[in-house]
Amino acid sequence: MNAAAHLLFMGLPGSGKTTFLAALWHVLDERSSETRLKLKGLSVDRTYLHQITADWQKCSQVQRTKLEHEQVVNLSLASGTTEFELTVPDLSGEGFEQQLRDRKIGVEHHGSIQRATGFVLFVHARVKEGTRLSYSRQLSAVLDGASPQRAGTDAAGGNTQKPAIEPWSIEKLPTQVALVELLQFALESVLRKVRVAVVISAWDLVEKASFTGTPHEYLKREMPLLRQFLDSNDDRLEHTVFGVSAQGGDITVEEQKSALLDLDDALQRIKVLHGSESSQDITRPIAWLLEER
Amino acid sequence: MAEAPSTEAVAASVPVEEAAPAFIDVYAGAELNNEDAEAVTLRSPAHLVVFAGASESGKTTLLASLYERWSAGPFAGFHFAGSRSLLGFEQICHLNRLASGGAHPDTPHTPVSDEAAYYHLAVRGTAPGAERRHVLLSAISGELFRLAKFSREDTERLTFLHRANTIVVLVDGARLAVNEQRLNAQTDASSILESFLDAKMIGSRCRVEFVFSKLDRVVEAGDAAVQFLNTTETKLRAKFGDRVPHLGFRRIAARPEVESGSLNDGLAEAFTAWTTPVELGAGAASPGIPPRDAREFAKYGWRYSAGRES
Repeated sequence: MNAAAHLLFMGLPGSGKTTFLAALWHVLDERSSETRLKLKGLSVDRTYLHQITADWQKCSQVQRTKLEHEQVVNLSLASGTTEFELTVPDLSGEGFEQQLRDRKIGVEHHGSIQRATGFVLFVHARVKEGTRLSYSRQLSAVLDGASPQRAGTDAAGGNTQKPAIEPWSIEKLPTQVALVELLQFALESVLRKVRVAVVISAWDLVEKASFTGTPHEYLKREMPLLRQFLDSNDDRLEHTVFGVSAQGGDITVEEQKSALLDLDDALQRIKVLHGSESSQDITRPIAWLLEER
Repeated sequence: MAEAPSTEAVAASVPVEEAAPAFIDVYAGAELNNEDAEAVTLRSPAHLVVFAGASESGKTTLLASLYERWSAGPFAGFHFAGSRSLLGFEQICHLNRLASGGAHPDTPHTPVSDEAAYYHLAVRGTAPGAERRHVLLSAISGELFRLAKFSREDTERLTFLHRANTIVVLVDGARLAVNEQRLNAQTDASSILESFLDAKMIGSRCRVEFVFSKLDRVVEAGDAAVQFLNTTETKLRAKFGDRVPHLGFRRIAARPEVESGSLNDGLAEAFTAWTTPVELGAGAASPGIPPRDAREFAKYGWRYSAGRES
């Protein structure tokens, strides 16, 4: 049976949407690996997919989607005996940033949200935190063993000059706040309950920082507001969290890039963590969104 | 034979199709005005908490501190479940962020405005199956309060107070800690509530709390300052205890110069109390009817609380 499935990729600039899509296409096109989803038919126009996958195969920075072009990728996939016609619009991260700034959503993109049965919410492992000054002063006091001074005084009690304050702007939004707002926009437009697969990209950086927990635990630690939002809206959305390393390492570091290029099977570059289960199956987030429950 | 219409005439008679909009507007995300707040309350019942106090008494800091707590994790037994004013919250938190470039935590003053501004929070109890709760938080600007303090006419402009489920009157702890300013601080807080009572703004279902803000400053100033705070509480209780059915007192250090364990205690309990409807006794008086010229949002509050509790 052929079912239509519309998914939406969401995320800020540099959150890994296009890299994920490039690795996904490489895996599906190879048809050799043990993936949950298999490719059944080809997209009508594969120029975009070939272009981004070529970058991925060379371990080059995958060319990001341009602001003015929302790329729509169509794939025929199968999971067991069920076949899907999958449509994924790939709006640029700047497009999502523009939604936050201008408080407007393009009509076409709005239509994509309304049709979507599931969202893949991408977030790069390195998040903009929005650290509180009061908290950082507490840390400094503990580390220095000194008591912090009141505003406007130095350690000797003398007056200090006020530092120049940078005005607030939308670019200063902590990542978790921006993502909650984007999800709120999307939930306003859909009437039914949707599934949300949160993909924490560049998961290799998380592991490199000696974090040994699950992607859920990472989300709880690094983006507690987003985690609460997802948990407390379980009547409107069902969610899960994946850690995905689609490049396999830091391709800006020559040694790492070279090691990745040396691998005979590029699939070995991929790592997907769901709960404590690790695999190289990059179709898992999509499969989770499509599976019958 | 009739003359053929000119090209211009044909063009003019063809109905001009309006271009389809290329974009769809979404909510502004900043602090809400009366109309936005009403839209929130029309979707779901919302609890309105109003913070009143002299300029720099800590109203906006209290608002910002509540949001900051959820940014760091579940708070007061609730999960964060959403907000229509995320950008508004972010703006009032900015001066307590490293990204501001500042060296010390600060808060912008409540903007001077004729109209109330609201911050929306949706929260949900951490227990399984808990209901979602909508809360509107509003700070009356120092300027609006200054006008209201001296004039009943100006107080009556604050019609949204009829809608308030909780009114928090701040007593500035930093001023209580300074001998030259402490009596002024006491009088300021007292006269705010006096003005509201005089204008019959406090409904019988409204919880009113005097909150001593910046408790860290009082404690740092020593025993005499703490003693003066205790005396102030006794005086305010004696003055208003008989006239305000649900009067309470609380001490808070919402954002001490340095975050530490013990002084932060109190904000979670305060939020829970401020957002819990008042239990009415059997002989409780009916709520006052809002004036005819009250804005629709203020009337809504009266309709909602009357309907819910009847």
